[in-house]
Amino acid sequence: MIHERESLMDTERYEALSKRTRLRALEMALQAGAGHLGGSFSCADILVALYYGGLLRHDPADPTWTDRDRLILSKGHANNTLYVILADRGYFPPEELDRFCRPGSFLGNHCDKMVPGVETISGSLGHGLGTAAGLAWGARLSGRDYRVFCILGDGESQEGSIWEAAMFAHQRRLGNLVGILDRNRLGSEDFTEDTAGLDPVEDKWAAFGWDVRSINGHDFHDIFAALGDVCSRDRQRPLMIVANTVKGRGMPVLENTPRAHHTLPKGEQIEMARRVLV
Amino acid sequence: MTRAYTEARDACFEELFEIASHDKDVILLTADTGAFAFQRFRAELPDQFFNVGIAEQNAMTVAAGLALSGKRVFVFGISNFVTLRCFEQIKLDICCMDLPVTIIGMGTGYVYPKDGPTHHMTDILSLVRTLPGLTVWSPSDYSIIAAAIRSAYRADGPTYLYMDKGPFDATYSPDADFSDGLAVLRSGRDVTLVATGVMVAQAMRVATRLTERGIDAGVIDLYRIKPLNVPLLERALAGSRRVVTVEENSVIGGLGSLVCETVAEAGLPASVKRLGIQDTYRCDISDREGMRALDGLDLEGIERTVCRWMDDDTGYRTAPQPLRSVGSRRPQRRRQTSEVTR
Repeated sequence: MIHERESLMDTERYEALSKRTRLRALEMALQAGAGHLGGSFSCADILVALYYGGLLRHDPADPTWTDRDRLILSKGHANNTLYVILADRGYFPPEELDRFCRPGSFLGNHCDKMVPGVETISGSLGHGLGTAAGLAWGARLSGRDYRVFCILGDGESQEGSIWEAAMFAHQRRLGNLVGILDRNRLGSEDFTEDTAGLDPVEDKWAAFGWDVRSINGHDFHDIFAALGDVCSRDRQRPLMIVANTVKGRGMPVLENTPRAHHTLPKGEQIEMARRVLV
Repeated sequence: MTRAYTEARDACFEELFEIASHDKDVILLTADTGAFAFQRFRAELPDQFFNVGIAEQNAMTVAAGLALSGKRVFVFGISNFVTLRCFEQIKLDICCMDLPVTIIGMGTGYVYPKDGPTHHMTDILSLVRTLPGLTVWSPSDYSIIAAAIRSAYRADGPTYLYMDKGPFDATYSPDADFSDGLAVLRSGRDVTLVATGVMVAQAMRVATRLTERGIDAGVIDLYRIKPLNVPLLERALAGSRRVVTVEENSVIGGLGSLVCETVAEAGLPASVKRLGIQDTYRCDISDREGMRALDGLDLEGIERTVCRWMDDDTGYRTAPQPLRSVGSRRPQRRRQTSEVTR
């Protein structure tokens, strides 16, 4: 079981892990000629904190352990960095990453439940928060103390079903549910504020009855400060962490551009990305 | 001992209450529909019954999450709303993950004949039968409803119970075995009517009327749409030269399509006529039989179709009745597929 609490000040270690995770995800995507690096990189630091920083109670040797915390990656296209982390933590052999998106591999371009460590299928947006709420509610009804984390996209938050789930989670007082909004301000092809704007997004979640914390999603001090106490608090309200991030963070050529969604670096861009991530 | 029921809701919810009262992991959700039927749940099993509000997409994802946490979940609502509004959630979060969630869709076909196209269940059968792994019940009788609930509770995967409020003709014994998925209710050498759900009683009445005209009609009740018992259906249709399918559902993709697929793939010699709702939206207001008449699904309409077919084939001299007028029928607003530009 992995439940150790890391030093909150050990940010250098997490930053190194983040770089290593992004670099491996980059190589995996380049090898496959497929991937969603933009959204995978914007939530990479949050995933590193959850899986390496002791925030998530889990056991790679027993992926279906009843009392594990559940993590739902609702923005299921952003699985590149998640798969790298799951392999590194021991959920499946790292060699499988070399088979990403290849015929016969269980690692496809969106999350699937058949991947050890992945809780639900995701890839169509707007589903994950409701499923996470159902899981959190099931834990409550069964008297179990696991928590449910759900990483949402901000483009995804344009789906109405997200707000159905938001109302429901508040109604049921799901204090064991933690949403993390990957606020990279980009959808699939455009900036969210140019299509169906979400701001002031913190106020929206607060108006729906959630506790809200706004952080820099690439700053480990911020991440641990926001998430560090969710394990111990007896919450009565669901918590939304609005993680302000940069789509494609770590690949300067694609950072904060609409192309970052599923464009892979090409030519010289590849070496530039590698140099940044080494 | 299995109970005999005389109301569809009783067959469904009393059977479910009995199960839930012995298993606290059984959860019933409603999307703000059917409160009266749930009074007993609310009073006696308050930790197992929840109204999750008018939010069907969320109801399905929450059901999936509850099932992932170890619960066996039943979701109730008006068929259109707990199917069409949230079809992708049913497909991905429930069926694709093969979770023990049962959707109880209340109402079939023209169960709300005065409520317009928003409340006409004209395509449910066509859609749900496309979902891999989903067991689909379309009961014609109270005993089948109760059996479907028991079967759904035991199932490891998802179930869809497409349930009309009736009234039904009680055809089956309460403790009958429904594992076959279909039953030959009567045999006939001239024509075989294949029906499902509330239209089975309609087919039986038509068969009786046809007998009076000297036409020997059989009736097959296809009460489980999926998984389809293909060998048994093939055997049941093997001796038929004429097959008429009868459904309060679009002629596209539902019972008629299912029978045509079976006949064609088995190489059976039967010709098939599909009676169902044509490819249009019915904006008419009428009673249920009046709505059926628009597509020849009323008693006279089905009888007329069979009689004309027999006339054409064999020179039978029958006296087809003219199309019955519908008093409140308005001009039809037909929207042909070719006019849809989106």
